[in-house]
Amino acid sequence: MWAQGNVYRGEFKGEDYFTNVSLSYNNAWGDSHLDAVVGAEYLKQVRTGLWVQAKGITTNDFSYNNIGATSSRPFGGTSSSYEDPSLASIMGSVTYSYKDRYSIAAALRGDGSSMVSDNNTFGFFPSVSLSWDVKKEGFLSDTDFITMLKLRTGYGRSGNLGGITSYTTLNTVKENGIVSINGAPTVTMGSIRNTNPDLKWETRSTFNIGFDLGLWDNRLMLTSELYYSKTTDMLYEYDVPVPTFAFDKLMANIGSMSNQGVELGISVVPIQRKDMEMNINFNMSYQKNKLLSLSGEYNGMHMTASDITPIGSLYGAGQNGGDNNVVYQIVGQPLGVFYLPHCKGLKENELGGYSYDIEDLNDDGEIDFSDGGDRYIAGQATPKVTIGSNISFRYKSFDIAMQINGAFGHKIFNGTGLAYTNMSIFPDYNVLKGAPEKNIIDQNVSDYWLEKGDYVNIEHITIGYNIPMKSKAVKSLRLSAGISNLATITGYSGLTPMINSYVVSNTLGIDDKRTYPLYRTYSLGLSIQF
Amino acid sequence: MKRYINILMVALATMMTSCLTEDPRDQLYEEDIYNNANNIYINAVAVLYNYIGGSADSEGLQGTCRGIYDYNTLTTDEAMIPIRGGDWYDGGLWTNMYQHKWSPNDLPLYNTWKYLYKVVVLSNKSLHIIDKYSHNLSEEQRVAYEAEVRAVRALFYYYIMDMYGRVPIVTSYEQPQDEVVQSERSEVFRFIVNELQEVAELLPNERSNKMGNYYGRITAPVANFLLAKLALNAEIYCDDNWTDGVPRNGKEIFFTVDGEKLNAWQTCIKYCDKLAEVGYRLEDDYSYNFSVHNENSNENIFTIPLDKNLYAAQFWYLFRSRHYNHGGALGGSSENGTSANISTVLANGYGTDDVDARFEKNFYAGIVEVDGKPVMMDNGQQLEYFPLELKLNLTGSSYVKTAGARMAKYEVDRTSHSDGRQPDNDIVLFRYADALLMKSEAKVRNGEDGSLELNEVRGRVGMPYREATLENILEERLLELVWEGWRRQDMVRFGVYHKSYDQRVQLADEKNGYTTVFPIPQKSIDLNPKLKQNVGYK
Repeated sequence: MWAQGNVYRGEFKGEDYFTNVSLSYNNAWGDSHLDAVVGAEYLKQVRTGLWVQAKGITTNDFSYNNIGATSSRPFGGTSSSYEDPSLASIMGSVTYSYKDRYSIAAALRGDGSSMVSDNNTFGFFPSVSLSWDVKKEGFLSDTDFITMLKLRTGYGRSGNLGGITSYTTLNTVKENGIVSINGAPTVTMGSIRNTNPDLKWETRSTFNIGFDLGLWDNRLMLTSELYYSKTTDMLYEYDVPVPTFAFDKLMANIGSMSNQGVELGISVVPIQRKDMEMNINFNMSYQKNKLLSLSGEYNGMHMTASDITPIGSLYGAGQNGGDNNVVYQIVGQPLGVFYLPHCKGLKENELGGYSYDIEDLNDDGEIDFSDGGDRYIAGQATPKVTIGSNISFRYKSFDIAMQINGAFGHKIFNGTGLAYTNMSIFPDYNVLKGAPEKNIIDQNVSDYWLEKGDYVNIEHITIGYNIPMKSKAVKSLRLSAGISNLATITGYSGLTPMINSYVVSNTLGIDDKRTYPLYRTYSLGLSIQF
Repeated sequence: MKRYINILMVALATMMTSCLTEDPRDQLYEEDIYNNANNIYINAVAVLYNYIGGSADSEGLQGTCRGIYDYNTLTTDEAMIPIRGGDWYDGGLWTNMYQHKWSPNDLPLYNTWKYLYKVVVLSNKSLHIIDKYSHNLSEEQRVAYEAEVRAVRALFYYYIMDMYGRVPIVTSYEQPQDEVVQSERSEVFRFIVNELQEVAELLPNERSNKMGNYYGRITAPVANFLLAKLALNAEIYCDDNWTDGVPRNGKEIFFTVDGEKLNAWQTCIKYCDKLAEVGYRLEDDYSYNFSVHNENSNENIFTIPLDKNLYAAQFWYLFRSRHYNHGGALGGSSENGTSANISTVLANGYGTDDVDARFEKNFYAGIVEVDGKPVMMDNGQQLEYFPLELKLNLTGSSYVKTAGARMAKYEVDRTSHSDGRQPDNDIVLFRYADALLMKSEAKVRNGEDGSLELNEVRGRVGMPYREATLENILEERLLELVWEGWRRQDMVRFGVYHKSYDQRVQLADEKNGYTTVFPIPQKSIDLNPKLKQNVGYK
């Protein structure tokens, strides 16, 4: 790969200029109270870059500090770039409250970006919310054990431009190659992708309703929220036909997705005394995500993306191509589902070992690994429930705190297991413990290697001791000891279940020879305050 | 107070809207790159030559993987990529290619379609630009530029029609999507022939493979070679129903060449003669055509210019074929993949006393030495290639890593980048030896004697006289043109592609010859429902 050596040096600079201004107004009369705020923000970013790649070095000793000591700079390795996207927003909100217990707020936000087309520069996003402080009502004034009760609900819209880069809407060109013209290499310019001059903001509409409840002097607090949101004009790279397009993808605002869920938070203070205190916080969120549609109209043309699109597959020697797709985007399902053939078990094969016995799900007499063949939806890659918890305890000058997080309801495809259990790679590559006994000689993808990804992770534990000080010079002295990532409790058989289970990319849900477990850290701390 | 707030908001809004326009400093607007004749040539005509070679899978007429070259080489009796334990399984891609078990859902077929049509659409865009900015051009320039763009487009339509058979003909940049429908294969064939015949006289009559003003461009000889190739295959390309068992007869397919009405074979001979008139001839040294500095060959007609420092095109085949340690001995690494099929090696006389003189130039077999020293494997043994031990799935065989004769042909560039994928050897697409063999074959098929041309090719490498029969010509094309991407087209023309050969067994329903063309990619049909699948594919 690096014959003749390789030196690369790049320098990238980003400048952000941000300014904002706001005016606020408030007034009260009788039982009413009015707050109004109006404001504006402007963000300009300037991004520049310069990079050089050179080959033909005779010594490594210069590292990247003397690129002049190289003999060639191949075409394509040296370049510079400039972009300056900007974002401007105006916002205004009005809140009216009556008797300090009923309030209604309305807000309007206008966001404009240089990255969307001139016709759609600004998107307008209104929202409205209501809240009711029930505790202040007469019928609850004598109910002592309820110390707080608030109800709230709201509906709002927000905008998103994720995925667009600068200049996507303009019909601009840059260098797209180099050819010999009149005997000399000459750089040519042209377009390198389809342009869509109608790009605009993606809109997300959210409805939520929730409550905050406090009991027994707020020793027990509950908060909960239910939400439903729908993203419309979703930005997505659609497949377009070649011909008549020159390139096969077009970024467009079509399609929609929904997200709904429940969030619950509990906080308990079971012990609260002068020299002993205990605090338990627990929160849980359940979410359901669904890709609603990827079809619509663009410029009079009916655009649709395939109902079943692979987004993640296995990689590595022997896995480059063929029917290796594992994670898909399927309309009507959460973003990132496992769509796999079903393995009934192991069967003997003619190589003296075992193969995955794949079920003929569509009953056509053939085993078909391709998309739409003998595959079924086997689970989702994103967790359905995530939890977090904080427990702290203090006795006199000692304190101990523990933080836990967890995720449930999702699955992980153990690609490392599949690749390194397959005995046909041995002895070129090492295999996992137990692989020679299993003697599987097969590297086909199936649900045999799809496992539950549920886990609870003890994120950290900290023990601290506040040394009682009587000096005037030193105000406080604290010793602490902590362990991060103490343990992960899970049934997953791979190295760690903490892979990418959240970001939609080609690594979503797949543990394939690239994730190491989080490392455990031990720390000691000393804090002195003068 | 209210008035001041109003003024403030309006001022803010105006200021911000004007601050929200982009100022592209590392990009240009389209008008800026077509503002004079020179720029129009660079950015509307020459820009298309970027796509002749490639540096990514499925992009490039040759040099890259999972594209035209693989579908024309690894689906024949010439070569295969066997499964070697944990390497090269790739979901069955390569074994399916060898066995003709490809399907409309294969991603490389879709990527190849997209690559070829991308260049067609960009060519149409170039014609549109030449027309739109013709006020910047003289009439002479406009005619010359249009001719060159049409020639590139015709070249790409040739590959599209050869691969997929019934394909849409799109000639306008503004063609509405719903008017993109398939044409019959013979219609596409005639379109290509007409385009080439019209522009061939407008193209410069210069050598394309030599460095200079015409390096890598489509010139008149390139177009003439392609016309000879099209005429030679006219029986196949004019057959709109290739599964009915009724072939066409080349003597009854006519072309008009320089005012004369000729049949397919006579047309082929005529165009081959035009190449000799320009001065193309066989080089004395067969290997010179594939050397690192092969730009001065008098035999090469159309090449892809490669230069590790100047150009982006790459050449993957040597890297892909040789054993890991063989590549290591040369200063890089290799993938231990492509191997010559047993029938090809036997056709060369391997293992007998009468080995063809070209065998050692085209293949690595037996013990491998680099710089005079034998190449050693990781287990301490000497590396030796065993051509006759090749099987489709070598897992479990003791020859799993060493079976198969490997690709040589091109001189190894010891200063190449990227493990040999960026050498300086120009990739040979068309060469004169092929023209002589085409002429020999056309003569035989037309009832004449083709022995002169056949033995000119054989004599160059010192091989003895052979009579020009169709069987001998097919074998000679294998011996001479191995690894050059012609085998599938030759096997189809001789009617043997759909039969059993080498270690391949004819598929259950392949008797009618539906594998003569590849399927229209399913994704293309999904995106344009007006396209219909080729016969025999679901």
